[in-house]
Amino acid sequence: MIFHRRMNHSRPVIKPQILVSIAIKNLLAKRLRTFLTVIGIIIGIGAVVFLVSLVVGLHAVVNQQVIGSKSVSSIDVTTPNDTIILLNDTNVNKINQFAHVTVVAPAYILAGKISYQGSQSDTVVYGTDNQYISLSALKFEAGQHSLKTADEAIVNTSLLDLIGQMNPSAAINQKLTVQSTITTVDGTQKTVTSDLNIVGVVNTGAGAEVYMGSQTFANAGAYQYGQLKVLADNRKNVPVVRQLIEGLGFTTSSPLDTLSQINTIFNIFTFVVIGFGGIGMVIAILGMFNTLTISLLERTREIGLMITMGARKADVQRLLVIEALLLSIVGCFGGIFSAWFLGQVINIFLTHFANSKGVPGAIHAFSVTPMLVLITILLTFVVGFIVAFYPSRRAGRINPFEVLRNR
Amino acid sequence: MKNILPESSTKQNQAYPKKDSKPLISVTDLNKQFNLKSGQIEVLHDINFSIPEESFTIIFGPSGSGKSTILNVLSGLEQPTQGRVIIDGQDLYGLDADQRAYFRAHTIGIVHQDNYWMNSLNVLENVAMPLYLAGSPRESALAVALDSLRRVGMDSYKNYLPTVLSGGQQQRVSMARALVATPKLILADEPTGDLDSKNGQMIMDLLLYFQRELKRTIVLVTHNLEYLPLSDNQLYILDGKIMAAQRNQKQLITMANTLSAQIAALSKMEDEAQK
Repeated sequence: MIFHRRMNHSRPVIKPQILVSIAIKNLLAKRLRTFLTVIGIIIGIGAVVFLVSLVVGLHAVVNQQVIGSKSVSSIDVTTPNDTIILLNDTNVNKINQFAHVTVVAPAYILAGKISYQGSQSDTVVYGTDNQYISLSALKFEAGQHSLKTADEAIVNTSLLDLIGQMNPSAAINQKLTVQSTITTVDGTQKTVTSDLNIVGVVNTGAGAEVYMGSQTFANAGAYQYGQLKVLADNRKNVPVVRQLIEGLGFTTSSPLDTLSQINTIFNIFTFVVIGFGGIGMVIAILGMFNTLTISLLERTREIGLMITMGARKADVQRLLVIEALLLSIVGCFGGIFSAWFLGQVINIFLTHFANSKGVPGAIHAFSVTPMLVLITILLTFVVGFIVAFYPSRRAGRINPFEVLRNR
Repeated sequence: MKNILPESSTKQNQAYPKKDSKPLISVTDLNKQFNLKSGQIEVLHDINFSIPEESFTIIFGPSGSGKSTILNVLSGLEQPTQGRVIIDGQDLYGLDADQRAYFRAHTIGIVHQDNYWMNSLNVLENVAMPLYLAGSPRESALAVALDSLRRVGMDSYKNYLPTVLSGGQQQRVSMARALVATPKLILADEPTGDLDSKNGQMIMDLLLYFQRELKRTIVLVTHNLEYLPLSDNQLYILDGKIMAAQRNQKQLITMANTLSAQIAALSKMEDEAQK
């Protein structure tokens, strides 16, 4: 047949932009219902995004606080028994030879006393080098970030508190005497006294700490380090390097351990939050489904009419899918924007509050990341299609003869 | 009920003789049954006829006679139980539903007794809808739709919602919509049924204009015998059967009136007998 031959070629169909335009007009024809449905979706999606952004933001804040600027490729090495497994130069050289190891930075960690303007306090003394200081990711408050000569020292703010020097900048170039006790290779203990010039101040927590050059202790006969910091060539190789070092009998730890624990906790937290937010989402989906189904029931004659005018089953189904997607998209972007806006307001409030209490910097407790936005949009599209499935299938089964006859 | 038809009005009159034009519609051995809970009901029985191109045909008969069902079968909306419907050389029910929809969009314009609209669209876009569905771009579809509205004198109402128009105005817009895709065939199902005589006459004038000036083939279903003289051909349907098919209106009207009167009398007699 002539017509069959014509049909085998791709037939012109209604332009997608016209279907979108009709779908928009259909939705606007029932403004209140559409508005309420969209509000429902905004609340549902907004709730999920808001709660997840809180988890993401808190996760980042916790990571920042715990890991700080430490390299996740660094490994801390200590000995479980300093009489049997020695953390000495021989083993440092062995570790330096391992594959994927780029830096090995040893440090003597000793108990000591400081004398400052006649007063004395206990302290922990780190005899080390600049690589160790660098890998420790210390937070400098004043002065230089490295040691240049053997008589220079970097101290922490806790130490300044102990000696009554509250201002970090004023402590620079102040003189300090440090006495520390080392153990020599024959087991005897020896006191090493150093007169040092404070060149830097760091903020490292509660106890008093002094960082000074390691050469002083090496020259005095100290033969064993308290800790090594080892840097792997990249994050992926950290487990391999750790395995090699542990093979020598040492104990290792890494910021990755902490990260992994934090991630586990926050992953669980995320699921819980999605569960709670999901309740709102399910209600929004049911609202959307209800709107589309009622809309279909109201428009069976319109759909019958479309078919009598030449609409294909697919055209009718696409119209309903587009209506569902329009509801979803508007609700999705509205929800994301609302969650972002509310999060920003709370972030600003928290930052002001924290700053007023002396905590510097901005606080991002809510973080709407691009990935979160992308996943939400994709999820919304999927939901839109699923919700439209039943009404559109039903629309495709409408018999125009039946619906136009039963006026 | 006994058969009151004269022998001469049955088999040999069921198809039009081809006069001077090739047939646009050819219906052969058409039967239609509806399945109801109470059983099957036969609404069309052994229907055979053909309709020439560019003609004006009226299908008439009393309510429930099956004339609207014939129209729905011709429009491709109601699959017959048996028989073939050839329109413009195409076996209509040899096509699947989507192919029929496409065929309908290009070949058939339908005017319903009741006015059905896309309620969210204005008059112009409602009229453009068949063109949209046939794949026309928006601007050209709207331009053609405006032309079509102009033909029925409704272009000044293009931005109105159709539902705010009067019955007669809606019917004129409906005819503009039926005409917009330049279909060869226009099927009209009692388009004057809900209108007063003035608006009814206006619609009939438009149908005649479509046939005579625009060279369309018109098939009109009505129970109003006043319109018979306007048509070229007539089909008289009673109880799902073609009782008469004529080109001579006067003879047909007389026969239809006689038959209707006989049926009414017979029904009355049967009712009284039952009492």
